Amino acid sequence: MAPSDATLVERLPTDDSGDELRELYRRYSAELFGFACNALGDRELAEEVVQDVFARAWRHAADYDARRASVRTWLYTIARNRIVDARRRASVRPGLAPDTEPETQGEIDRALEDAVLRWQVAAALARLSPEHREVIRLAHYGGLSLREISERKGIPLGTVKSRTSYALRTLRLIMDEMEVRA
Amino acid sequence: MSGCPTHGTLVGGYVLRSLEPGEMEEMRRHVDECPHCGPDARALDPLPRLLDTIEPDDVPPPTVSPAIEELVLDRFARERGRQRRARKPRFSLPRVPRLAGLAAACVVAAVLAVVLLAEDEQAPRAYASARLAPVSGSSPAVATAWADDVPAGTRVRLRARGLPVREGMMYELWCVRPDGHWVSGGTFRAGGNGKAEAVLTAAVRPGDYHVMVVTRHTARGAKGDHGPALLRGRLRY
Repeated sequence: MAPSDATLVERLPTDDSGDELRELYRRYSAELFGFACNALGDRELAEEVVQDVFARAWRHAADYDARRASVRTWLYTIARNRIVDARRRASVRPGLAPDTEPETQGEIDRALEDAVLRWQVAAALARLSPEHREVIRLAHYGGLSLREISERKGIPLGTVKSRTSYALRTLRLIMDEMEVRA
Repeated sequence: MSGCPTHGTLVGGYVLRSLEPGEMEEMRRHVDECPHCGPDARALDPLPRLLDTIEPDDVPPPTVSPAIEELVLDRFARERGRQRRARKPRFSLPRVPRLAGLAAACVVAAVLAVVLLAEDEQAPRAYASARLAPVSGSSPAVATAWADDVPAGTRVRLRARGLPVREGMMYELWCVRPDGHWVSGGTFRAGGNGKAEAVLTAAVRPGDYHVMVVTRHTARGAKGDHGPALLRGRLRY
């Protein structure tokens, strides 16, 4: 049986092989990267954040308290702090400075929550089958009616209707599983 | 499905407002009364708003480069190695009477501290590192650079793989300053397997530059000709 997230973190301080860290990385790097990418809008900076998150995770693994937060929350908290730092650094570098006024803490928090949400929604959609994703794309983003989708794709209208309903229910289940908060 | 035998397949289209006007009106009345479609539609109702938070192009979400895992584990291995060196005694003490042993241990500890500190002084200590990614999306090349502060400027330890291998081909490492000035760190070649390990020195100081570039080395022509860029990365201080 695969070790729990908390077990992996507990083993990090004595892990000389790197196996525990590698496993933790494989479980969380994708979503942390998506989160950082969304928050920073820069792949390179997001990759730096991901590296920093795991570096801090192993350095401070002994401080992790499973009673206070899940590993996921703990890693996101680290990522959030690194993102705030990265944004501050970016704002003092010529050419990378945003055109806006400095952000307040509340604005930063909201921006980060939005970034998590965007990543989660995109990741949930990516988990749908291509057929399910396509009907949602055409109907919601393309603004087509189900009849128009049926005509455009040459699929019986009844199939498009049931596929759309299945697609949304599956998406709902995936989002529930990911604890997406609307 | 919602369990409703007559309107269950319409719930998705209703939630997305993608039914024909007549069907929409019919469903509006139906969900108010149907014990199956009503809860189903309410559960799906937040989805359009959530879908509005992203652009269709955001799917699939961006994925992290496989090279980052390598960098994370490499950093971990280097730090663990330093910790082990700092912890591990170099030899074991022979059995001696207790006080004499204690005194000897103090001497050994002092000597070890001096040795380890001296060793640490000599060990490369990177003040910054960079992951260099391909400038062209189709290239498999990737490199990692660690920058150390030395009297002559910055010593860069570069490890690259996936470099194109052609006879006589040389590569050049550059540190790019914010004012657009490129400072060469020197040239290197890749092995037959496309891998390269090089230690180069550039006449720049920490903070002088934020970007490193690897180019294909060419005979210098016009001023500012650096050769075609293959890899590029931003420094992490």
